[in-house]
Amino acid sequence: MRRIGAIDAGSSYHAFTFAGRYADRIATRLEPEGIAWDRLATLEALLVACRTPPRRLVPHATTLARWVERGGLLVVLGETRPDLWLEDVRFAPCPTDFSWWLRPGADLGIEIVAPSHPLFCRIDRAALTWHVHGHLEGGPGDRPLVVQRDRGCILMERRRGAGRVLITTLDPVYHHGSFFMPATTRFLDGLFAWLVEGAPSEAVVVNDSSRATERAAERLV
Amino acid sequence: MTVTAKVALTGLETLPERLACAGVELVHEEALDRERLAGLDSLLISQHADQRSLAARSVELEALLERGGKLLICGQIAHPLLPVLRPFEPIARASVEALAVGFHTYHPLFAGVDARDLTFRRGVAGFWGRGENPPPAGARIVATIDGGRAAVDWELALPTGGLLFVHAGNDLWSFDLDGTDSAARLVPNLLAWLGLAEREEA
Repeated sequence: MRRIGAIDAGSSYHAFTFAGRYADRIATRLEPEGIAWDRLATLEALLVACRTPPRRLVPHATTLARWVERGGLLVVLGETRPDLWLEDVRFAPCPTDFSWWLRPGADLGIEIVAPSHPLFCRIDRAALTWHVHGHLEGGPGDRPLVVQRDRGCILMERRRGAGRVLITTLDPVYHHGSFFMPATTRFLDGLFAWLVEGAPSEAVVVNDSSRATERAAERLV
Repeated sequence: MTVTAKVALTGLETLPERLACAGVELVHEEALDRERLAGLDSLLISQHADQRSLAARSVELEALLERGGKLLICGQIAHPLLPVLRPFEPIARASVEALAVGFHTYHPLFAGVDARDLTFRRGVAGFWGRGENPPPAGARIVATIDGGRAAVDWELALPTGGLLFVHAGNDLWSFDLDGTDSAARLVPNLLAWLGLAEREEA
């Protein structure tokens, strides 16, 4: 996948991320106000950078949904309130515990619940572990990929029409672009590597013994 | 006291309650046009602000300073929104020692604040700053990290009385977490600096 776009809302961390380490992976940087059908039509994937103000995304909800239906891959990062501009998303914020790792035996409780998903060939548990800002609930058929144990989903995937949406409450662009927290750089390295290789999802078939087996990864986008 | 100063904050979705109670107004970047800026005494810019759109208002932001206003900018500069600003430069190695904050000169924003309470938030270092927005000639260095090498806080005073305060880290008003350490002085100090509250004894 070569045609990856990124929403850049003008913050310092959006600029330092998209004009910095990942500049060569991104074909187009779009202001939220620049979301328009003719620009989206040239893209295979669109990354909505974390902490893009939701008021700047809400007016483009219909355009984004239509683009996904036609085959786009939308990657929605945290603190963007997708519940306000995507269908079938509920978001429950939680207070940020930024000092959890100082406590003895510390564990943020992050668990990959779909380990056979090809995304996790690129992103491991350590690269998903920094802060949790909230939890997600999707609609029927949406698939949780990462959860915070006993709390809820923090990364999920859904299919809509010919396209897909990946939604997370994690905010890697904010931290990476603020020169803070190496795990977030590993997350973005993995995310872009997965996007560049075509964002493979997996197809699961159930055989006679009802044992799920993995079919070859398919490229949807 | 009678509140007369007109102060706005831009770059957040919601205003911190203590600032709202003191009369600070939230104005989104896109609404911060020439007319709105002309009516302000001071402007606070969050670390989350759309610096690109503010950079398109640099003439009006300079005018605010030239007529004696105060401008406080938090965060790392990527889009220089004033001609005196240059892009953020991170320190080479962000060890806990390098992230320790030290005061260089007195500033009323830090009256009664212990630098250690800026270095650590609940035991975690790095929130105050991880580099500098390089200070221009004539700036007064207020606080540094990296053993004095990075000017994390500086102020530039204009002959007209305008003040530009630049803080290369998380929003100043976000440090008042529990009110249990001296970082809790930051918001009252900020309100007094803006003319929205009487100065309290530290």
